[in-house]
Amino acid sequence: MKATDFIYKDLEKSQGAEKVILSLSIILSLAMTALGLGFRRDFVEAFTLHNLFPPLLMFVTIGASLWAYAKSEKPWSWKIKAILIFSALALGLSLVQPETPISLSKFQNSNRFWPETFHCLALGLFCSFIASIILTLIVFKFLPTPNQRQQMLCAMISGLCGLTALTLHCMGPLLSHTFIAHWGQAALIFPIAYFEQKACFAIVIKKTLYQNKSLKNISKLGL
Amino acid sequence: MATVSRDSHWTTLRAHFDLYLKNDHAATQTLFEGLHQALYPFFRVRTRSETESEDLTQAALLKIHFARDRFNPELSLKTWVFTIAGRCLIDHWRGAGSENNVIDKYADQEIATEMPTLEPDPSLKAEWGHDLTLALDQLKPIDRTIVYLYVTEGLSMSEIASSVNMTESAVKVRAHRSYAQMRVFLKENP
Repeated sequence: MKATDFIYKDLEKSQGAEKVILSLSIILSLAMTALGLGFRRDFVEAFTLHNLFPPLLMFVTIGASLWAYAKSEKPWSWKIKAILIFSALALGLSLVQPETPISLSKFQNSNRFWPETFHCLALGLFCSFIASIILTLIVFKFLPTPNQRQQMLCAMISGLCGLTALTLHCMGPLLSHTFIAHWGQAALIFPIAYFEQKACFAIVIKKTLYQNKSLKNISKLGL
Repeated sequence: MATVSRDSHWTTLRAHFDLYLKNDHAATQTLFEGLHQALYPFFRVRTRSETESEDLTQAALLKIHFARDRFNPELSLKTWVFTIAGRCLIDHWRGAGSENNVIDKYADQEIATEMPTLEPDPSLKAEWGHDLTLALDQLKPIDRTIVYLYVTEGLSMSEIASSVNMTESAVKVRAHRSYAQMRVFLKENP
């Protein structure tokens, strides 16, 4: 296969990008809701309707980030502004979660700080990792093959998904807890998800182009 | 006349590039065929190998595809494309350097004469003439790139400077020296 054939096939995947982005946003939102709320023992007592607004806005942020991923006609400078706004919005929202008696009681005993923090960190990492796998599977199958910046964007979206799940799971009123556990998981998952994307990219390129002997040398050109 | 034709070719390619960004399949095909036509001779002149030129062209096209969202619409498509092509060539030489020291091979005139003679594309041959091609062979790779981009692709000195990652004055100095070197060669080999 020639590089041009690969490009034509890659662009064909862009034709139905809107539907894929919508489906992917819904899948990720449902998965994060299920994981975030599913692990809550205090779900029934603590959950209130106004707890929904921060995660709902985060779902919109995830969808918008995916839309920025797929719109190749938009220049990167435009995307980076949009992504920065989305990220700031998501991080800001993670700080203004509604407090409930249960969430406040969570940290009344200082001995519970680290166990609760590690619990959220582990859950966030788990959710982010699940999100990164879903993202990778769908992105490489149904959306244009991601370039380096899009791979980074996918890694960022994975962390954002974990943050969203934690927003539903833990209405931690402590800033230190939010920084360490909620934002920390996003920072930890970023390199993992990024290398996952890079590895998949290398596999796709090899699988697609190496059938042609003359294109084997492309691997030396740092694609 | 040729410059006008080349300019209109790039204007058409630019229009197709805009459509390619909007996922227009027909425009994408025309665009990449046009880019292939522009890039292959560039690599052919520089590497003197059909296989390497084809590989480099394919790699450059892939790089263009993966970098499509980085293109600044206010800048020239031609400059952007040749900047990517130039980087491909540098990467190629760096990669090949450890294997067969290609850069040194090109720089060393004695060894360079043992290499197969450059048989340029018919379009290049018609435009430059065989003597000029031989004269170009005497130049260092970077100088050949500068002369090629200026004479064949019609890029301005500032565009070439950004393509080869040098200052405009350095490009002018190199171009001036290259012309002088070619003039001497043509005088000695009429």
